[in-house]
Order: sequence, then C-alpha cells, then structure tokens
Amino acid sequence: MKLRAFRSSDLMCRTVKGLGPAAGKSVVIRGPLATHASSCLRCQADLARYRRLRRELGRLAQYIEQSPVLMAPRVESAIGAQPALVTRRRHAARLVAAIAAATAAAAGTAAFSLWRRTRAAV
Amino acid sequence: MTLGEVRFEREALLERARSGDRTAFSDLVRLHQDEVFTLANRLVGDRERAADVSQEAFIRAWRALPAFRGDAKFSTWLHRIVVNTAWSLRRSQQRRPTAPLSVIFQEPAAPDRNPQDLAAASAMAPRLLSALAQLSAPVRAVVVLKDIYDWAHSEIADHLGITTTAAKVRLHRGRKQLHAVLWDELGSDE
Repeated sequence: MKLRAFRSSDLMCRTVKGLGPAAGKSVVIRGPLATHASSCLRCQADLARYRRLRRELGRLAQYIEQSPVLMAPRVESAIGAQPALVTRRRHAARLVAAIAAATAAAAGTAAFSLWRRTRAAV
Repeated sequence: MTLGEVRFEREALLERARSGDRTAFSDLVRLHQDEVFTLANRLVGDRERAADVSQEAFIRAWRALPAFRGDAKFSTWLHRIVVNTAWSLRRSQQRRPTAPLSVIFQEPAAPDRNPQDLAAASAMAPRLLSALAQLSAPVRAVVVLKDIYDWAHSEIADHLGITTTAAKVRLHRGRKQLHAVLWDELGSDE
C-alpha cells in the first residue's frame, strides 16, 4: 500500500516536473496535480525555480551591452554617410589628375619646343 | 527635454532618415546600436559575429527604410531585421564557414553600459547569459525571443522559418536545460 502511494506520488512529481517549463502564463497546473504540488516540497521547489528562471530571463531585457566602438562608423561608411571620407578620396583623385595633367603639359611643351628648334635649324 | 520632446525629435529623425538623409540615419544607428548589438549577441552568442550581424542589420535597415510604414515601433522593426539577419548569416556560414571580422572588432568585452543598467539587471545576469550561451543556437534563439523579448510563438516561428509547434518544443527544451544548468543559483535567495 505504501509502495503504491510512493509510486503514485513519484509519478505525480515526474508529471509536474515535465510541465514545469511550460507552467506559468499559458499552462496552469490543475486538479490532482495541483493538489499534489501544493503538498510536495520537491515539486514546489522545482516550480519555484522555473518561475524564477522566467523572471530572471525577463529582467535581461533591461541588461544592455555596449556595442563595439567601430560599429557605427563602419555602418556609416557602408551606407556612404561619411562625407569627410568621400571628400578626402575626391581630393586625392583630383591631386592625381592634376599631377598627370601637369606632367602631360610639361612633356607637350618640351616636345613642342624641341620640334620648333629642329625646324628652325632646318 | 521632456519625454514628448524626445519622442518628437526621434520621429523627426526617423522621417528625415526615411527620406534618404544619411546623417539622420547615422544618428539613429548611434541611438540603437547597443540594443541591436545586445540582441544580436544573445542570438549568436559571440561578440565578433554579433558585431557583423548588427552591422549587416543596419545596412539592411537603411535599404528597407523607405518601406517602413511605422505600424510598429522603429526598434521593434529593427529587432525583426536583426533576427532575420542573424538567421540568414548563420545559414550562409553553415554553407561556407568564414572567419569573423576579428581584426576590426578586437577589443575587450564591455559587460554593461552604465550603472543604471547594472542595477536594473539582476545579479544573476552574467551567469544566466553564460548558461544561455551553452544552449544550441536554434534553442537559444527561441528562449531569447520568447522569454527576454516577449515575442509571440507565431512571430518567432515566422522569423526563424519553423512551425509554431517546433518553436514551443525548443522553448520547452531550452528552459529545461537552463533549469538544470542554473539549479543551484535558482534555488538561492534573490
């Protein structure tokens, strides 16, 4: 008789344990299981731990971590929101173009003066 | 500045960003970067990959911003993009594993932003986060979205590309694993 009662109680404990993760908002423990849980210290401890777990997880919503320092500049760079960077690149491109143009002009002038001198000599 | 003024200013910022103002969008990025990074980090469980996810999510948000109708809060909309990005990057990494951008984001982990945040979070938070990191990514994602961000099962299922039943099963499994890992801490006094 005692053994049967123990088995029944053990089964109840296991059932309550199985319901533990879902117990709370959506699943409510009712009937014989609720009667058992109200008098079983093991089940009470188990359910209390699940309740606390969910409460602690809910609190994590307020726990905000700091993002890496370079994240925002990288996003800005990716979407082209950094005019300074773009301007710097444009400046560099303009400088290269100016140097190329000056070199070409100098070469042209030298070639022209050489051609004139050659022509005058003839 | 009152709460109403702050809200008005943010709405104006959002409106400017929607009309293509990049500077306004950068301001929005700076306003939301920590919360976006926090969600990404909880989903992927790794700071370097979370930084990649956050960055990609902001770029996607910028592209999708003209389509943002304002039915939901901007932060909620952004969170959805983060979840989709984390999941799509995870899928692509599974197909061809690549090294994260560790060179760019090498810096010590900063546990929290300011003392108020620390006070608001429970003393158990670090242990809880470490236990969450032990869960598999699919299980962790469901636990994070349901128990921390309070998403509906159907919404979680939609974003993770699973059925509602699968989402419930994963949540059940996740809570059970956390319960087992944190047994001692959960039994101690708060």
